[in-house]
Amino acid sequence: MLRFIRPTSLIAAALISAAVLILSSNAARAEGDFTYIGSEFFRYSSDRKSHVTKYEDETSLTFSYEKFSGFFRYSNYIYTPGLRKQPRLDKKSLSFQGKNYRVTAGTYSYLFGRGLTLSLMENKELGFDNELEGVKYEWAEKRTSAAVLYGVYKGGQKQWSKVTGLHVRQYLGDILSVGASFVGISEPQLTKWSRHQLVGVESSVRTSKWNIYSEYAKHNSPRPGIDGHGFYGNISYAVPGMSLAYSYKNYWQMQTKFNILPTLRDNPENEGVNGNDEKGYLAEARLSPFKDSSSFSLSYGQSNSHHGGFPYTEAMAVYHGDSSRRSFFNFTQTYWTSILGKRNRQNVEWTYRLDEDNTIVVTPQLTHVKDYGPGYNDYKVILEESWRGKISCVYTDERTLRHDLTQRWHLMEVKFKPAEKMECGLMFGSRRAAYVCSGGVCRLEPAFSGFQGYMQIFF
Amino acid sequence: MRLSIGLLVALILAAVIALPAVGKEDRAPSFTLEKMEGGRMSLKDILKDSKAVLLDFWDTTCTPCNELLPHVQRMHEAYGEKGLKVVIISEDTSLTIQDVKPSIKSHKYTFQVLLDPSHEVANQFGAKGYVPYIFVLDGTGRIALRHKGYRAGDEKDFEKSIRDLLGVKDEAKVDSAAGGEAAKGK
Repeated sequence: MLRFIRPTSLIAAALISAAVLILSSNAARAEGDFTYIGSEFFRYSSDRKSHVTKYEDETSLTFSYEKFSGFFRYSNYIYTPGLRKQPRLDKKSLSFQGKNYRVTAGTYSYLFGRGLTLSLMENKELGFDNELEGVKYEWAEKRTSAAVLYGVYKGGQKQWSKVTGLHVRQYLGDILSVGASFVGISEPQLTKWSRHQLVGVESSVRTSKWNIYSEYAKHNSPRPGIDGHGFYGNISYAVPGMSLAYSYKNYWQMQTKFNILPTLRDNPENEGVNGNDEKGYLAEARLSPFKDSSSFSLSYGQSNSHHGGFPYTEAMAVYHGDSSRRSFFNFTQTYWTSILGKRNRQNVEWTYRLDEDNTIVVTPQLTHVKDYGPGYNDYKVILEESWRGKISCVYTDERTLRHDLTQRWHLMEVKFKPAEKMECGLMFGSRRAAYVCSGGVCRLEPAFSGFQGYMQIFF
Repeated sequence: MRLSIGLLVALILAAVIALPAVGKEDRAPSFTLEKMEGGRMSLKDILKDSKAVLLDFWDTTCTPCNELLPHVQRMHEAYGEKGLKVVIISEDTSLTIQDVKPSIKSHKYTFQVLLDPSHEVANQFGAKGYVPYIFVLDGTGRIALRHKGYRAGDEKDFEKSIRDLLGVKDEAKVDSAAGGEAAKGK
């Protein structure tokens, strides 16, 4: 191990230690509080499908001293076993908190309204990251708040996209607020820069029972004749024991790298949206009629392009049992149809507490698939046993019985906490390729066959 | 790979040498977030007049997150007057944030809910990408317990940590619409 430590790394360690010691000694003299929270993550994985064997690590640290706070992350960790990433300081930020304002320099995420003009975030599991690197100024005073930002997005390119943004929100009375946003984007093309802007307005009404939200945005695209516009609206009524909600979307040429448009799809396997040509709706109802924590929910929605054609339709019915009981179950019925075919899925999750220390969860899942060809069934069973929250074992058995292909996958995962601030895990076996979606961002997760081990330490 | 391991060792050495001697570890980072019902709330507001705080990073689409909430409601009702503050931090992004209030209200939960749609606060706590993630803090903001994920029975550990901070010996019983069955532990 010692031969891997270069002199430059030792010098870096000495400089970092010296900086912390100097900062802390100044902190002691100033009688301030220097606080921190951090984690160290290691992973080894070997994937026979992609023939990639790799070792990854990630160090992150959040600290604060008086009115300053910061976050750093040094990492080469990438969720997908078959991909590699160069180690680098991929997240770094420093913030100063004033009386009613905050200034941040470095990498940051942010959301304007519901994201029609700007939505910056990172989702590691999906390999999605559109956070900017630059400066952000936030101000809030009584009933008014504003944010101004400027940043660049590198995205692995030699030339970087540049983004400027402004968002203002004003409360009018106790229940009504209105807002406006402006986003300017400059993106490098082959021979020139492409510049486009988005302008948006939003309104929100909140009472104890009602929430009504609407947002409209225009997109002045650099290409003539294809300017865009988008609308998102949501109305909900919620009282103890019941809620009803209806949402509507209408997007035309709205998609950029820096916004994430509400999808209005509850089905987790189809959460993607075509921000350049899509409109649709989603209606939802929730009920908790009994004197326990059990609940029912129903949803129905459709999406389609503006010229019509084959719509995407989904319907879901979910029952959540009373999780305070020793034994309870959850049931989900999902149906969806699109131009690619139909799926009808039933999912049951049964939890049983053997005793104070042991819990068993059994999840059988049946999906009937009807694409272009004869229908077939996919089966999946997940068995999980956990002991006092310190050790858990999960076994997944999945198979597909397509007419031209019968295949089976087995996966075993073990997680344990040898100490309060440490967690370890092992995974071995195989997993099929599948779409993984979260919050409007979807990615095809490739199949995996091999071994993974990880350890995380908190300090 | 050499540089990665080398710099990793360097960072660990730096942390081991410098931080424990000079910093206050395991302190909750300060934050200010929007409340589900409107308005803003900071960690300072939460810690004011509290002996213990239960912070639960949650989102509407996460099944174990929702299985934990009846137990959280029971603790909120049982220990609220003894100095416990319960705060749920919703990690729903702009795509599902409209489901937060219908989900909480329809289940008759009465604890405070804050919104963290860009996951900035979760990032500061080291909880980004994981839900549920539970932290129990004392009245000064020191982290007494951290726990990732939830399976039936884990709530016992959270409640023990809370009782230790509040100086309460016996597990509290409560009978209410949302928390009653949880208290009976059927």
